[in-house]
Amino acid sequence: MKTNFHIEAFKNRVSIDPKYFDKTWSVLEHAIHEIYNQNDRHLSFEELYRNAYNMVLLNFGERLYSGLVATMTAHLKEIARSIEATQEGSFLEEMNRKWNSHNKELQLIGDILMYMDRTYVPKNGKISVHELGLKLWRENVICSNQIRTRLLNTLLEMVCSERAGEVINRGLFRNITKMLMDLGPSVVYGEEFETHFLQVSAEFYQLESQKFIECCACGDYLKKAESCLKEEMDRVSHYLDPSTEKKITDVVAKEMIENHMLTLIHMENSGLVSMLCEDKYEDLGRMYNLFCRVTDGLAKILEVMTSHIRESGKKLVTDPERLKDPVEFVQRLLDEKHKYDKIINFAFNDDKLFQNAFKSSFEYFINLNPRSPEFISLFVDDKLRKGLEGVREDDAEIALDKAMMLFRYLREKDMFEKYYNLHMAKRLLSGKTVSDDAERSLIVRLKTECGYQFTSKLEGMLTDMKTSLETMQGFYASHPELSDSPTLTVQVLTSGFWPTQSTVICNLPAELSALCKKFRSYYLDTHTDGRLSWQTHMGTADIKATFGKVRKHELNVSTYQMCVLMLFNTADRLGYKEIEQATEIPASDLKRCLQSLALVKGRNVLRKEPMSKDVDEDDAFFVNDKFSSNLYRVKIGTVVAQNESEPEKLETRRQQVEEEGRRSQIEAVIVRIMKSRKKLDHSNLMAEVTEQFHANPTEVKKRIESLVDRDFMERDDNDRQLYRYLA
Amino acid sequence: MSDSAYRVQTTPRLAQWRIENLASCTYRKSDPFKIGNWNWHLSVEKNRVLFVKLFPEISNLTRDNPPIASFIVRVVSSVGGRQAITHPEIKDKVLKNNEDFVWAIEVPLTGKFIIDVEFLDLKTASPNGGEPCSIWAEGFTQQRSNAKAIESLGRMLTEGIHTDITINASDGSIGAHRAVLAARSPVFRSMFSHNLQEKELSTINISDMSLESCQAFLYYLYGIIKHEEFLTHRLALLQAADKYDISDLRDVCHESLLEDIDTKNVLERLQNASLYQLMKLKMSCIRYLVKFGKIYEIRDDFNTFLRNADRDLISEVFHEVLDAWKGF
Repeated sequence: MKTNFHIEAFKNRVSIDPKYFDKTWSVLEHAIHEIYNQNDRHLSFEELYRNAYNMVLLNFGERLYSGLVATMTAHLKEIARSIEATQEGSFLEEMNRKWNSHNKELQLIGDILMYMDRTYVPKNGKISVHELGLKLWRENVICSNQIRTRLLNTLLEMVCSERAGEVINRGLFRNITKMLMDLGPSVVYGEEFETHFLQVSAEFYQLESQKFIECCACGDYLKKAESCLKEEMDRVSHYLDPSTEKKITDVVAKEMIENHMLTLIHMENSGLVSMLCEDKYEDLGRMYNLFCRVTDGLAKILEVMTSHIRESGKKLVTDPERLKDPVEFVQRLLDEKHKYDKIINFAFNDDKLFQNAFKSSFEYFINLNPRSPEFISLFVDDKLRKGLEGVREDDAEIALDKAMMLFRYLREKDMFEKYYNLHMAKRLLSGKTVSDDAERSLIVRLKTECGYQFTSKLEGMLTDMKTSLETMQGFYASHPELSDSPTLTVQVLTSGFWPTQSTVICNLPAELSALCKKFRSYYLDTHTDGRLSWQTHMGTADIKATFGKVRKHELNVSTYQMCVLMLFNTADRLGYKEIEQATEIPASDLKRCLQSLALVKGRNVLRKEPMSKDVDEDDAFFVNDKFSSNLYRVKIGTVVAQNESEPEKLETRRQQVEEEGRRSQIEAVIVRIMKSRKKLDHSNLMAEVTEQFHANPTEVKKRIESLVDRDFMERDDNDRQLYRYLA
Repeated sequence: MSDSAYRVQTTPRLAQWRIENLASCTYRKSDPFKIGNWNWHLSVEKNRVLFVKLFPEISNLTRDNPPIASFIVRVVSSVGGRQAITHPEIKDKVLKNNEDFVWAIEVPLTGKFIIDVEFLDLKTASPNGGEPCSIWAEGFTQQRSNAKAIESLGRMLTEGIHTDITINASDGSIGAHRAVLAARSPVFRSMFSHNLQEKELSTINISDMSLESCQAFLYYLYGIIKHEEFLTHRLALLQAADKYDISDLRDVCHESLLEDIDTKNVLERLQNASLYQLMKLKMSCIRYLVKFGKIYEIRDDFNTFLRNADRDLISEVFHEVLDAWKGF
């Protein structure tokens, strides 16, 4: 018999059967037991729910709740005993099965007591039925002394088995993991399993790493470490909680990488330096990826790599053998840079720290050799002297870009500018440059890097070449009568743009001299404020010659050589002194000139008496009627390029640049003095300059003449010894 | 002048005013005509030129929600083969008074002519300050759809369409639908998710509810309860709402019970408020008893209450009494 009741108007008293609770609780308790015994199909949800509902309304919530706790606790203690009695092989299966049943039962019981969960529980600070079920399972089953230890050991043994290559029941393990997580991520899963798992794993990998480090090369060891990491990540994804992945990979990284970091890096024949030398991108990449998992891992790689790069780079730039060929020297630098750019890009993930470290190392060693600026300039010179001819446009740009890369590392960029100025001048004046566009292309790059001031001279040089072409066109257009004369090509060079300002002049042949006079008149007519002085030592000439009255050749010679050869049109024999007197070529230049013409085998268009290896002032010269060559067109170089050894050649160029620097300094001093004095006579000017700056008086005189020519100062009309400063 | 001279013919979006004759220097205003939510007027005023105006009738609706109109106005003259003059299309124009749209027609019109207004759209400002929305847009479709859906749902219950659960009240049975019950109440959803008697037998035995109360309860769940039924079964519905965790029904009962507290029902409501934890109702009842001095009017009932009610509830009443006496 069930007691029905309801609250009516207060005409009637509220009456409750004194045994109501015991009867109603008995029904609920019985139902819970039926649920536990999988015998619940005949139960009525509405009836049970209504009973619980009414108990709460009648303020029996406390007794209902504690009754539930007692019933559930008793049931779970039985469950624990049942699990404890399970045979070894099916321990986890039984645990999992009981847990699944518990959850289903908990769901149904919670639903039946839903009203209590909604009203009584929050009002009285209790935990919900679901949470209560988890708590009681944790307390009575998991924390049972026998089950707790056994569960942990069973799980750890399964992990060991899998690490040994055996197949385990991953699905079952996953279910147990989920149970532990449901019961409490930190308290149960973390403390009851994860902590122990990590500790056992650390011990395992400590032994593994010791074993591998003793028998593996560095690359193989890293492969093994990578494989272990992957295996542990797979394990987490298969049956552990994702939160464990970071922790277990930290353990593996510590035991297999961090504890052996230095050993691996410095391993003989297979460590970091070997990898770098042998371009082992894959191994380097693996090392990078593994080492970035541990503290200071990348810092150690960086340290050793930097040290190695500096050392090998230093060898590269200080090896005397490599200094003999500047182009090869620069190419080796480019190869070195390309090698490490590739390593950093492919293996080190374009890591900014590594990029910066490489840059500072490269800058360190490229500047160890004070000749690097000169060599880079020579490299560019080589590329621009027909070096890019036949090369596709893109490849040309790439070559210039590479040169610019190295240029950026130079500390003494002004030194590069000096050398480049010198080399560019030679290219332009000898007509050896591949194209104007290529020259201008590099100048644009230099301007981008260093600003207009840095490249103003270079641009001026190119402008002069262009202007000269136009000037020559204008000259011949206004002198049609010259069509039968030798062809003249003049390069008008602006003072200050071009290196070397010597004003040495020789006697040109009569035909050329007349032509030059016409050009000078033409030029000065159109440039009323201009001055023109000849630089004959820098010119070239093409002349036709007949040998033995039958063999005709076209000779490509320097201007000096032309002056000498033209003399033999009217003379069969000429002594050294006669030639010197007729041409007024400076002695050192003349000797080298005559050596080129008379002593170079295959190029000896002149014959010398007596037969000797040097040119003396007592020698006599004749046309060599026996001269012959397979080529119609014969190029005769200046003997200095043939005989001067490479180191002397480089030394000459270096001295040239240094002298130019000194000349600039002398001129600066002169200008400062004149600016303050406004007017000063020659002797006093000389005295003041030598007082401020230790210089050769002859050189000072030359600088004064140069400044007068370039209109920084002028001579007084009345007193040739008096100079006047021009603002 | 006949009455038809001022009448404007309309279809849902078109208005047409036929004018037989218009003397010089004259003014004529049409009768109101309804388009959309508003009543409108057309007017013509003839001086040297003809002015045509369109404007809504002055009203609270026009003031609070002026129409935002898109329309085309044409004047068709009977002279010379139905010559038509068309004003450029007006788009989204707010029309509040008779100066908001004025069309000056230079062409001299004589004799019979027709003014046509074709409404392309009528909008009203959105309550929440968003874009104006058309009164002919989707929202109205939604309203009709909702009403139809509720009606259909109700018919499922009243006509027993495809019922799949039988509810046995204390004195009768009603057919209903598991899905609707489960959607409306988490208790019913749980009930049907376990393999218990309700699922096996397709019956629910609700023995603590009468057939009439149960029916009212289901009518509420299906959205078709009448107000009279609600008032009749309020307390039963309140219990059902509390039992089956239907918060909207509980709130409705709570508000309703607050509205008609009197000396006959105050103690009963106080008890129910406490039982089902309706805080506002409880405080209102206590305030009614104490501050309004109703205790003295129901002295005998109150004494019975003090002897039988929950001790916590009596304590609350007592504290309210003390607060009320504080000033003396």
